[in-house]
Formats: sequence, structure tokens, C-alpha cells
Amino acid sequence: MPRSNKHLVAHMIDDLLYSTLLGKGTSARDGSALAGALLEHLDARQVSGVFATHLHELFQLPLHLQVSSSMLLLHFLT
Amino acid sequence: MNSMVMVEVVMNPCLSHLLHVDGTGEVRWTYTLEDGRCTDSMALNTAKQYGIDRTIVDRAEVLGAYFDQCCREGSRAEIELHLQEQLRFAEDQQQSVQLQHLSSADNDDSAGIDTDIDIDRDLLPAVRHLVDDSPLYVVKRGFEPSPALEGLSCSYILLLSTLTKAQKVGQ
Repeated sequence: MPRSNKHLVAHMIDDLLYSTLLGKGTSARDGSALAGALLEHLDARQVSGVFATHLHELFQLPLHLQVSSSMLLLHFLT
Repeated sequence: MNSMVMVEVVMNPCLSHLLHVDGTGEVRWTYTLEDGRCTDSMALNTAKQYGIDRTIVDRAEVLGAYFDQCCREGSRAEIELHLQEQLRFAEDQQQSVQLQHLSSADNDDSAGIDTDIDIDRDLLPAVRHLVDDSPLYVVKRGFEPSPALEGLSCSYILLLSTLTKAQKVGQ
């Protein structure tokens, strides 16, 4: 597993991506913006994986996802 | 320097000499401290500087502007004001203190669940049984608790779409 997001982006193609708490150390604004941009990037390349996030504002952003996107939005039952 | 530390550095626009951003977006740290809190993250500059693809960072800048519109209430100046209010509240708590409220009544954004809330009329009765006589600190959508609250004992109350669903979620 790549240790940094830089390497993560560089090597993600054809790999299974697992990302958690992206943007943990920065503001909700910049964290959500970066996470959204990265999600679009991954979606456009049909990368498979799990993207766990604490940035709930992410889902209010107008993300450009593929029409054929198979992205599922899931959460744990409480 | 450990790059993980740099990622978490934040900046107040009015403290522009704390971090110098030149024409290419490169960030240079001055290691100089001055009064005031940081209200703006340098995450996008940092991401660019540490190799995140330019197209991703450019898109993140666009999404960040959307975030200001849809996830934070009010203008940039109002956001700044709210952040300063949060800081003052936290500082008062640090010096230990009386009940204070942060009111969101001045905002006219209809998108937020908390825009119509009158703190005294609506919020306090709904959560009072959960928090006894503790001071109440409101974190609006799109904001985080002020770092100045670090180390203080808090109960977290999650306010869902209706006031009757206020729930204590942790301490």
C-alpha cells in the first residue's frame, strides 16, 4: 500500500484503492474540495476501491461523476 | 521538516507574511509567529507543491468555491466573522466562564438546517436535559470546533433535521 497520497494517485490505476480520512488534518472546506476532485479523477478512470470519508459536505458538492458510474454510497447500520 | 506537519499549517489571509505564496503557488514558510488565528487552510497549495496532479488541484479550487456557497452560510466576510466568534467563545471557555450563545439568527441562507434556529427559544430547551448547565457551543455546518477548545471536556450533541432529534453522541 502506498504511504502517501502522491504515490496513491500515481499508482492507483489497475490497483484496488483504499482511502480513509483523506484531508483529516486540514479544513473541511479544502479537505472536501480535494476529496471531491480526487473522487472525480478516480471515477473517470473506473478505479475500484473503498473511499471512506468523514467529510459529509462532500456529498453537497456538484461532483462530475460518470453516467455509468457504479459508485455505491454506503454507511454502517447504527 | 516533516511534510505531514506542513500539510496541517493554516493561514489567515490577513497574516499573509506568515506564509509566502509566490506567483507559481509555491509556499515558503517564514517560521514567524504573530497574534491572531488561522482561518484558511493552505491544503491546495500544499497538495500542488507535494505532487498532487495539477488537474485535481485545479478542480479542487472550483469545488472549494462551491463549498463556500453550499456548505457554509453567508459571505466570505460573514464566515470570517463566525470563525472569530468561535475563537472568542473558546477563549472565554479557557478562562472559564458563563453561559454564552453563538447566534445564527443573522444568516438568511435557507439551505442550512440551523438557519432558522433561535438558540434560546429552540436549541436550549431541546438539548438542555443533555448538557445540564454547561455552556453551549454551536458548530455550524461546514465548520469544525475551534482548535482553542482543544483539551476542554465537551459533550457532543448531534442536531438532526428536527430539533426533537437532538442526540448526545459522545464526550
